[in-house]
Amino acid sequence: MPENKFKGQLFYILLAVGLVLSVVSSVLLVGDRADKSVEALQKEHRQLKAALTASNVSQYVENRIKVLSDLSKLPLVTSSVMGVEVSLANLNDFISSYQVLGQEEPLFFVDILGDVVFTNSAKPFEVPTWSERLLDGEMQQGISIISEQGRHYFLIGRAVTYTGSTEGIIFMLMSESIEDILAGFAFDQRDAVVLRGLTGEYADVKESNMAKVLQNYEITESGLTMDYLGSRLRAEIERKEYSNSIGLAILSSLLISFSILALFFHSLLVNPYKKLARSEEESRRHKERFELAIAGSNDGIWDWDVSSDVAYYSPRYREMMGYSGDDTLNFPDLIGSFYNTLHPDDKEQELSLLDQHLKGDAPFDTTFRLRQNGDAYRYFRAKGVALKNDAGEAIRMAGSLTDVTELKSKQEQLELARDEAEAANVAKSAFLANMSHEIRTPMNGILGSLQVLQRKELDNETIDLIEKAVVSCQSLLSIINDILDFSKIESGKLKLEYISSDLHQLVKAVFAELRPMAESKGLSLELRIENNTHLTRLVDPVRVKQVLINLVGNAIKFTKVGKIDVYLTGTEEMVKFVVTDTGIGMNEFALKNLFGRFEQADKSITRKFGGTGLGLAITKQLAELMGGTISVQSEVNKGSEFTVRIPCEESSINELLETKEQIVSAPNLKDFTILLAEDNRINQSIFLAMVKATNVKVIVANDGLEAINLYRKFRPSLVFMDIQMPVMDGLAAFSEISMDPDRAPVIALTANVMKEDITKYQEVGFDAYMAKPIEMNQLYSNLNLFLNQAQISQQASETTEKDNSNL
Amino acid sequence: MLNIIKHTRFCFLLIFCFNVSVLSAKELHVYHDADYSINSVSAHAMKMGFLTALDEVGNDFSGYQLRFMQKNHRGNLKRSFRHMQQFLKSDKALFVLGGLHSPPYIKNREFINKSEIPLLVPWAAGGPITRYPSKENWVFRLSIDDTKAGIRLGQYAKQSLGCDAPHLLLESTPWGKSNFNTVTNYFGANTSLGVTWFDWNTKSNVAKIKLREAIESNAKCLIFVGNYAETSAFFDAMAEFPEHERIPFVSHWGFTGGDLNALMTERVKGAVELSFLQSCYNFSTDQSNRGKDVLARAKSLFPEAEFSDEHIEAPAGFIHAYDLGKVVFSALKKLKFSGDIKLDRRALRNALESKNLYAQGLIKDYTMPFSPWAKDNTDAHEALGLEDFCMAKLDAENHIIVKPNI
Repeated sequence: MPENKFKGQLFYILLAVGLVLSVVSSVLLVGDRADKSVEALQKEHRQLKAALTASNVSQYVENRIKVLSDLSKLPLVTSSVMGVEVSLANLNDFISSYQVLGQEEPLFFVDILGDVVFTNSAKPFEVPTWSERLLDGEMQQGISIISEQGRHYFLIGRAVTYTGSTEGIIFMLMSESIEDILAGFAFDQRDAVVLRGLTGEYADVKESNMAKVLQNYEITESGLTMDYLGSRLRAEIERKEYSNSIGLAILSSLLISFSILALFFHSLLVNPYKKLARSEEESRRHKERFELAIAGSNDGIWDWDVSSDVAYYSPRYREMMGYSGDDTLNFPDLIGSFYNTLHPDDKEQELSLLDQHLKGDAPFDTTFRLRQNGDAYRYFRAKGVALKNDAGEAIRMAGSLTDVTELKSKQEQLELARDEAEAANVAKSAFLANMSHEIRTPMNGILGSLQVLQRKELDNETIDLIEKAVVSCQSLLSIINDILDFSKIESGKLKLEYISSDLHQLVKAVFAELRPMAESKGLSLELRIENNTHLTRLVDPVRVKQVLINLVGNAIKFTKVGKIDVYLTGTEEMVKFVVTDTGIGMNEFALKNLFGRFEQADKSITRKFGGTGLGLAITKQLAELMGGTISVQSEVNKGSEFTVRIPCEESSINELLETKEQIVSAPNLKDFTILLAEDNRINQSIFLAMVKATNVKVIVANDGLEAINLYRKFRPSLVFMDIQMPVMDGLAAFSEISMDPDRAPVIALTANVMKEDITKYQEVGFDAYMAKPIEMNQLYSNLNLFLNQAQISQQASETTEKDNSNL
Repeated sequence: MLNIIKHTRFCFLLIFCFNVSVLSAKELHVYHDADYSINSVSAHAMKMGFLTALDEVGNDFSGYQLRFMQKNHRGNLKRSFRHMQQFLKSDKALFVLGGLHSPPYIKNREFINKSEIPLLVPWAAGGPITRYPSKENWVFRLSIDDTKAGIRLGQYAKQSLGCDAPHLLLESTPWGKSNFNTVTNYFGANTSLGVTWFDWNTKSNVAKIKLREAIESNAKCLIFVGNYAETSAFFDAMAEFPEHERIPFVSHWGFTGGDLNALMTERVKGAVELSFLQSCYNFSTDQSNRGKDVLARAKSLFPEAEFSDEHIEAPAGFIHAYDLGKVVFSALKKLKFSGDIKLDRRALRNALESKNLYAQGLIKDYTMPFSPWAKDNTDAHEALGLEDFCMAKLDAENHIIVKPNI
């Protein structure tokens, strides 16, 4: 670019030099000629003026000479000057009113002796010396210039002739001065005129340095001559002015011309040239970039003339193929060189791909194996594109070749690692599910037993013990649920269910749940609700409750003395829970990692207070899942304050679900038979204990196959089907049972409470499901639901049959 | 014109001869104050007549020789006056031979006489010329005298043309005026004559206007007094009138001083009936040998001049100058020159008035042609009388044919 710039500048410099040369040459050539022309013009002009002045003067004088001449021919005049006295008297009368061209002029009639024989003027008159020459016939007329009081006058003499000889002269002394005469001709006063008569002279030369334009110009045949002088100084000034004007005109026209040239050059040459230069520069940079990219990419380049076998391989290509870069002998520039090195197993596929690309629009980006010089195959990735003619036929194809052997090997390793990780993840999930299942199963036994016991009439101490046992069990279930929740949240599988909920009731439920724990530590739980807070909100009550339980539970856990305070407030769009405790508090470092997974404020805390360390992480994630935030302020040994903000709309009270727990009483099902498929003996016992109060007849199967058999044998009204069973699992067994078009309802019993499991059961066709450990209320509800309906339908059916039999 | 040139050449030759011959002799000059321009024919005629007479008597006057000096006054009074001045300055100028024009001598008469210039007039006819009222009258004439010319013109008009009341066409000069007086006197107070005056240099257009004036006055003829130039203008003008309006010219002899062939063109000749005054001598009718001898001498003296046997151009000039020459030479032959030119002039004047003066001329023999002037002798310096004046006509070749008086 600087070179181009320099070229552009060079042009302008040349242009400027050209301009200067043009100006100089114009000035030298034209200037001189212009000077001469102007001088010639001036000369011509002055000569013209001079000629005009001369002509004017000449005409002026000659007109009067003619009048005198006519006068001289008058017989009266002739006789008078020739001495005829009588004529003289007549002449007196004649001349007294005689006018020369409208002007009475002093006339003097002179005889051959030079005496004035008659005059009409009182002026003294002296006959000029040249009158002798007139009288001698040498001249017919003569002019003198008479000076009088600073003014000059023409004195014209005209011969009076008789029979061819001069016999006298008429003189006329013009009354109009030469000064006035010249002024009357609009004579250029800057010039000068010198008039010379036969005697006397008129000159008005004002400058010493004047050029003679006319010299001794004979005005008439009367001896009057004229010099016409032009001011040299003025001529010089005029010439300079002309020259300057011409110079200026040349300069300005040259400037305009060169400006236009420069403009043209700029727009027609420089700009395109600059564009060209830019484009060259661009393409050079492209090329460099391309070469750099190729060099950097370590790729080989190929370029194939499709219509022939000729192909170009870059040196790098050859090197990649194990040859020296310029070894065209062993690796010639032919397409065959490529085919020869292609792995036999890849040939078919590659040729097909190539064909598709050349004939269609399929991209050509493929990986194949090529044999190197040392006979070893390596993987290469080839990318290329075909150039097609107007007919759509490929005429040329070029592209790159990259050695991807290393990449491919790494890719394979990665794929392996990924597979392993995925397997581990699956194993983890399975483990978690299993663990959940495995824990829940015994928990089912414990909790079931405890629930059965709770329905016994026992002494207060026992009831209290059983109660505590139930709470512990529920706490344990809660931990398990936490673990499951976290894994669900992490994998994005947690779904929110928004329903209209009463937040006051919700907090009260939380308090009810945690009060025993708080009271056991001597802590009070206090709830403050900001006045006018709308408490009915559209939220996921389960998750809000979970958040509160975590926060309040934590507060209880980390507080020795004092109280736990929950403050509830809200706006139209959100609610805010503030949980304040008077516990151990946290330092800055602890606060920093507080919401991380498996983190507690201090490792020692885990030992001291226990817990999974998932609580706050889950809380934070739940809050965020609901679109809210959680924040904490804390001071060591003073306490902590957690604030949760959850955006939610206000809703009406009608939408509130009846969440109040009721103890469902046992239905009387003595006429019904149900089938329980459960492999765990303890759970079998618990179930039997739970349903004993209903008087229902229970057939127990130990696996799926047995369940099928028993189902077919006893035709139960309702089936409780465990999923995980030996021999045949619950799903397979249900599948078999569902073949019966008139099958009984089947309720899935499972410790697998993960959402996808539940969805799966619903999709397969289970009529309901129940999580283990079995809630007795839920069990009775379901028995009521299915068997009472069955009973009604059965009764109806029986009635119908009776009706029909009656027919 | 050719003649003029020839004569001029001859003059130079003559002057040269004189110069050679007078190397040892004293010289006296004769100034010929005449119009050698338009009236050169008359001037040359006078010159030839004068020199022929001189040749006849011999150019030796008591050891003095006469030298003929041409002084061309062109009809200009002032020039003539200047010649007189020149004459006075010269100590050799003895007398002046006059020319055709009267005005110079009438106007300068006083000067001439007071300056004691002997002026001998062979042509100019103005009456006053010779009538300077003093004994010291220095002007002598042998020519027509207008105091009588008018009578002859009047007589001719009346008797020959039956023109009882001619219209006078006169140049506005003293000459014209003197003729006016003579003619009107002749016709008497009872006859009212129309008169038209014209100036010198009058051209034919003006002349025509003036002629119309005369014709419309119902005059039967014109008595014309003018010189060659104006005569020519009036003749041309007359030729322009229709024939029935034309009237005859009874002219003084002024025009005869010029080239008659140029004047009398065929057109003019056919249109103008012309009679004019001459002295009564004709070579063609002279039966004596004198005339033949004179012509022969003149021919030998002036071989270039065209002389026919009987005719000579401007004959009056030749004849008068010859006769006047004979008279003057006769007087000079008797003189002894003092060398004081003034005294010698006076001696000449006195000799001319002498009772013993006799000379044989062509017109007549002159016995005491001049006498001292006195109031009762106004013709004292006139050599010719009315009886010597005749009328003449031009023949087909423009030769002057003098008619004898009836």
